[in-house]
Amino acid sequence: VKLLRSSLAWLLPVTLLLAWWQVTSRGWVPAQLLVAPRLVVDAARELIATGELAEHARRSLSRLATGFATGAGLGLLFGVATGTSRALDAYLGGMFQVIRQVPTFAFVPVLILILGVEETFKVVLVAKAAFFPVAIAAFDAVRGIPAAYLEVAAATRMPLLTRLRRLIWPATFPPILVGVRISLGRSWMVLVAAELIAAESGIGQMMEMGRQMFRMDVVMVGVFITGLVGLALDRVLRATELRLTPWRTQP
Amino acid sequence: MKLRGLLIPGLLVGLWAYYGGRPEVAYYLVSLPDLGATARDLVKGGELPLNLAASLSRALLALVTGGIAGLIVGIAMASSRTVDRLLGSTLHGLRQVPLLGLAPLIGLWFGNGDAAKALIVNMAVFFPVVLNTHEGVRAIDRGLWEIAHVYGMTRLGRLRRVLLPGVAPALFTGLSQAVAFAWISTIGSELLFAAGAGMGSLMENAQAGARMDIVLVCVLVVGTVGVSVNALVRRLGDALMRWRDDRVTS
Repeated sequence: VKLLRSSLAWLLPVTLLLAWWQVTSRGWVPAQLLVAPRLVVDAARELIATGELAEHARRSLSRLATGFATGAGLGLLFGVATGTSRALDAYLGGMFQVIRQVPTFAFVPVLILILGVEETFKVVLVAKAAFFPVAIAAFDAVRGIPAAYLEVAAATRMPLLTRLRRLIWPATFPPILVGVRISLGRSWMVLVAAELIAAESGIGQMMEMGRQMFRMDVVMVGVFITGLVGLALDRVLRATELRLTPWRTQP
Repeated sequence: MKLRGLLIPGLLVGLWAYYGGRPEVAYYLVSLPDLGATARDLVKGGELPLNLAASLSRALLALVTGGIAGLIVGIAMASSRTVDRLLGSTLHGLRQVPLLGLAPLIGLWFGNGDAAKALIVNMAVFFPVVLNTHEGVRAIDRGLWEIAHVYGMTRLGRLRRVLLPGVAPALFTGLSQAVAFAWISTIGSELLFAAGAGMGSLMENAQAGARMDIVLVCVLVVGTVGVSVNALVRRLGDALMRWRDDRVTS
């Protein structure tokens, strides 16, 4: 029964795959609409063999790294600063909340007009997307440190370094890491979308070219790769979370 | 408190009013009177109302259809282990693909028009609703069901007294996420599929024509909608769930 149950999880994907294979091999749908799985695999193989896929992935990931590191770093600083200082929060908090609620994509035309369609535009857009989740998580984490902890620390005259290491770090690190994970996922989505809109390289651009040339196989490869990269980034951060916060039991 | 929050935005607007429209920066920083004139023209010419209505109705329609679909699937997954196993892993796998990354594929299948956009916005609404409904139903204390059973509550009674109050908070979290995602993905999909009406298409065309003034008016409108819709949802939540006093305020 257990085997049956776990096999249920595979039922839908396998059925879909079989249906895909059958429908294309029997020619029930025109090849412009759906290409056979084999052709997608062939396309993937070809893209790997020519090094095209690796090059696109490298460009995308390097943009992601730059934009995400900038945005998340600034977000961390901003969140910790406004979390620590009530005055700073009073000055900046309202504006922060308003800008946060403007959809990132609304900035695309503005940024293109100001920065052009080169690298800077994409990196800035990713940084904007990465900034807010980290800033919010850092703010909540800092505000969430129980006041009692700080009182105990003050009463026992705990040295600053110990206080940071034993108290601030364990209290703030896990929630911030969750924010970082959300932020990385969003950054990836925004980057792929930005590359679809305007780029001369990257996974998104590869898909966009595929679409324009009606290369369904190339588009499908791109979709799988974006999904895989998204999944991998998420998994890596989850693993990091577990490793760095061993005192927590993951649900 | 409020006053201090207005200081820096006020300063920025002041700087804009002062420097805007100067020849060195005129390309990015349209002068405020010009911006106002553009906004008036867009409203009078009917472009802004038309495109805004198109975007709003797209988002709203997807909220209803995607939301209902999400609700049904979420409840089904929470109440039946078989359904959960059948759909769970596939849904989680699909969720990992960045939604707008599917745009080229959807474009090839459904063209450049409203169907493609509707599909993307529906999916953006569907996922948060499914996940939160699922978690909400599962989080209901099993004891409550047993009590309801012992008291001989009818099916309807159980639905009204146990299920509804139990899932309401999670459902609401799902709704507020869905509302935000619906608006974001509406604008995003309109930028990607520029055929047809919508704020995203209006911005895209303005950008192609290097009309920074129109783009800026659109950003202001889109931002205002985002802020007010979120505020509305929060109000609604406060009104509907008055019995909760442990709500996390953020």
